Amino acid sequence: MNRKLICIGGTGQMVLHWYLQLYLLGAIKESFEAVVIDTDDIINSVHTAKNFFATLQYGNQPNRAFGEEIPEIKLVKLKPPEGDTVYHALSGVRNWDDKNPHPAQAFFNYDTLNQKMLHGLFARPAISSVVAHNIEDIIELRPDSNSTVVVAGSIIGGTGGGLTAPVLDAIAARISQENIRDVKIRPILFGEYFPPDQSRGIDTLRLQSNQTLVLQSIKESLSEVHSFFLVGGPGFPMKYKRNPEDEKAGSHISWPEEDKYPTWEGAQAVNYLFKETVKAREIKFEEKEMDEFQHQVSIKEARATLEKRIGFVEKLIRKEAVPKMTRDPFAQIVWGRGIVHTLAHFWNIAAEVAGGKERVQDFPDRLQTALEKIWHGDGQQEGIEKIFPKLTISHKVPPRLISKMKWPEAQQGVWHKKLFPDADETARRGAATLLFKSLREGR
Amino acid sequence: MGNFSNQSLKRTLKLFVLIVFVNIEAWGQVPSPPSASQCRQWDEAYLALFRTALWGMLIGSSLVSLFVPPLLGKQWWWATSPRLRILWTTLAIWLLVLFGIVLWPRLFGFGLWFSGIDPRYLECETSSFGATGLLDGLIGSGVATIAQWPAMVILLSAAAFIGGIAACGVSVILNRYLGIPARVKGGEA
Repeated sequence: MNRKLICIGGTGQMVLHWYLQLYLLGAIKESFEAVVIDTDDIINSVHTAKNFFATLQYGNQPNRAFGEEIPEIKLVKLKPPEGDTVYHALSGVRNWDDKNPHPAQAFFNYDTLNQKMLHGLFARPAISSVVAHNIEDIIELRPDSNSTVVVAGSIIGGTGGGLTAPVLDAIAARISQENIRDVKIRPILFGEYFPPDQSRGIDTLRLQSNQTLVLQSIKESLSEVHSFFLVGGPGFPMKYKRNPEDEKAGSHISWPEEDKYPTWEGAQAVNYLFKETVKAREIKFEEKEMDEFQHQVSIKEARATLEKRIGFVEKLIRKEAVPKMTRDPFAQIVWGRGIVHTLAHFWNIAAEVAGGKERVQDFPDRLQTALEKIWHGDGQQEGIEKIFPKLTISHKVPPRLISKMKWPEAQQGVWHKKLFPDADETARRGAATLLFKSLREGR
Repeated sequence: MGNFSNQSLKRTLKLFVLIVFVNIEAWGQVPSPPSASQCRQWDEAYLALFRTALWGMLIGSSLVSLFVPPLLGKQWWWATSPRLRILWTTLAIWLLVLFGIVLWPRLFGFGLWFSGIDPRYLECETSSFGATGLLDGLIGSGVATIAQWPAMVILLSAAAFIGGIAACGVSVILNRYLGIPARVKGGEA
């Protein structure tokens, strides 16, 4: 794939969280590959989207859905060294002993080494740099030729600050070793953009120090960076607050009010950096910085689209459109040719795998059940609706809007037999396809 | 000038008295009841109208409810369900026919589509004139059609019901040959 997005740490995951929503709502048309790297848990919305894309797979390749290419999300969870404290993790010795000093004491101060490992990396990039000792082995970082790699992560926090530079270096190393041609490395670096959480021992000075350290290391060692975009940084107004608990839950996260909300702007910058072709590769680090850009879609427009599409999908499910259209001799007049053909196509697959049409008479009902489960969730499996914020406004959605949607033509023999073992799984994949198209193409 | 005024007043008064007398005489006359042949003629006309309405009900509820409303399905969600489409269209036709044939003459009298029927037909309700009766005499032979409104309502309702059921049956059969199930071959995805 010629668009690779590497998301590092909590900030990188939030960028992906917004970017996925813009993609699912059709505001971003092109497919991409996302790699999430974190020492912490992966947020639920990213997990849910990953599972959704897996359910959409139709052809041999993971990114081949019904009639189009879809994103692929890969998760890389880095395991911090085991130990109660940082000192324990680095030295293997539980108790601090001045009589037998460990080399780690030369690089980290007392506070850092006494940090409890249970509670994350607390904006200490040095620790995640230790975690990153084998980062060049991560195969998911390998870019394709003729591609753009966007790396999104903070340069002030623990994970992002410690991993962004090593990840950029690992990508550059792979390009050089494997002689991969025409790859643009374009990081989105998040400087100071939220007030530090003093209760967790993080102060402004530490964030600023991390920022300087990481920027300096990228400047000095990474000439391969084509260009970068900086979000926040020195002098940025600290009016935006992060809510780490909500972010970790990753369920129905409210949308920001402003276009300039840092991680939202980061998501817009991802799209911009993927598309922008004018800027030449500069030598001087300072000249590699990208200027302000026009957002592809304003938050106001995106919100209007969100309300319409969510309303559209909920109506489709609540009104049981699928069972209805399969009972209607004039389905094509009411619903249009596209959805009728798509539905018949998945029903045909179900009939084939079940060994006869008469064995899957209830396929439309199975598909309706699958639609509800994928959208609202089913037991441990989170529903797609939770990727999006909760809405209070509902739009009028007449059925004719469904007939106006564009649907791909089914091609014989393209579907991958192993993905369709039985009628239920076929119904699930058919339901995912209907949801995906309704979110992206709904009017 | 004064003479002329008095004469004129007298003449006017005479004319007024004459008009009043003529009218009193006319009002005092009792109109003759419609004859049996008149009643029979109007009853036949009303019966013919009812027959048409009954067939219209049967055909309308089965065909109109089947073929017209799919277009409504593009605009309204209720019309996306073939059964609901049939139900509501049948109900609408039933109400329309009931109002137009049974209720209208009692509320607004005869006229418009009742052009062959005299307003005095209502007076035939209680008279005996050898009325044919509904369904060629099967129901209420000898009783004026207009007097048989409960039976008319039941017959129209039955026609609507039969038409609706027929529409549902035809819809299921059509769906088998025209709808999405017709595109499922079983093994040719």
